Amino acid sequence: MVDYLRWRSSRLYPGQKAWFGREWSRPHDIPLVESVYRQACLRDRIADPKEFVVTDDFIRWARVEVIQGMRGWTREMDAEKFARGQLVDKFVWTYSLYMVAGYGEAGRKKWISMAVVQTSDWLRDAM
Amino acid sequence: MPKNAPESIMTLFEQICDPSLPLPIPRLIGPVENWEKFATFMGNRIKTALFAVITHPTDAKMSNLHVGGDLGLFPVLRMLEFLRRCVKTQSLSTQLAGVGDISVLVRHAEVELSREMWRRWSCGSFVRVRHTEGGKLCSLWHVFMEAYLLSSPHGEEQVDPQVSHG
Repeated sequence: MVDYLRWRSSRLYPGQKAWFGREWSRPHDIPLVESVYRQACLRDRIADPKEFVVTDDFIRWARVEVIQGMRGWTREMDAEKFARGQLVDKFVWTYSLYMVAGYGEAGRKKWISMAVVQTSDWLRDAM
Repeated sequence: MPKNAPESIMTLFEQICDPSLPLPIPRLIGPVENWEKFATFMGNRIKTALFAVITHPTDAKMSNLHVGGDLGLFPVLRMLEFLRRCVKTQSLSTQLAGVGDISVLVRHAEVELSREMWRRWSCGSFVRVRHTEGGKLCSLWHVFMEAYLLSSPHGEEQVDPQVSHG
């Protein structure tokens, strides 16, 4: 029966452009963010509980190189770019920011709390 | 079930709904009396279930739906799959043409379910880790997704023939 569900789910996917289109270039130097992006673009998920959410190792969001990469990305992001992003883009950005803010030292830094406040505004504007 | 449904339809309906039985093959079932009524009946069940899925709240715990749980979604999903196969079956599709929106409903249901799947995947990812440093990003994402799905009707979605698997 699980095989049946998997077969069905492989046929189910939202439209491509408005949802999965790639509008901005993401920072390719953060492999962790790229892995979130890859997962967000899947239309076929394995019927396994751990596949119900992003599968990432929380602790990796606290790594120095990830935090630095995210800091670089925050400098590039602005309201206009966010609004132009497709659904997947918006998710990867918001989720990555949320995770970096919650783990490690970055959460207490000014640049990240600024980015969190700004992104909250952009999300509200996008509704 | 439609009232006074003949025995053959009752048996067919049970076969469709019972998860322990293989789904009947549309090409192999004999002529069905009141076929249009029967298809419309299943169509209405599917519409109700879709509404329940879409309005099922995405909150702290219950974002994911259990198809086999109290909601009893599994029989309805089997009805959907059965109707989908009927639409694809030549000999039945002419009979089904009388039931105007069945093929539209099947397509609609597939798109809606996949949209809900993605929405619950993304919302669940935020919910899994609760912390205050992220401000209101978690709850904002929930509201944003709900607004997004309401504002982009499924009809505009283009079907991509290629299924990607990263």
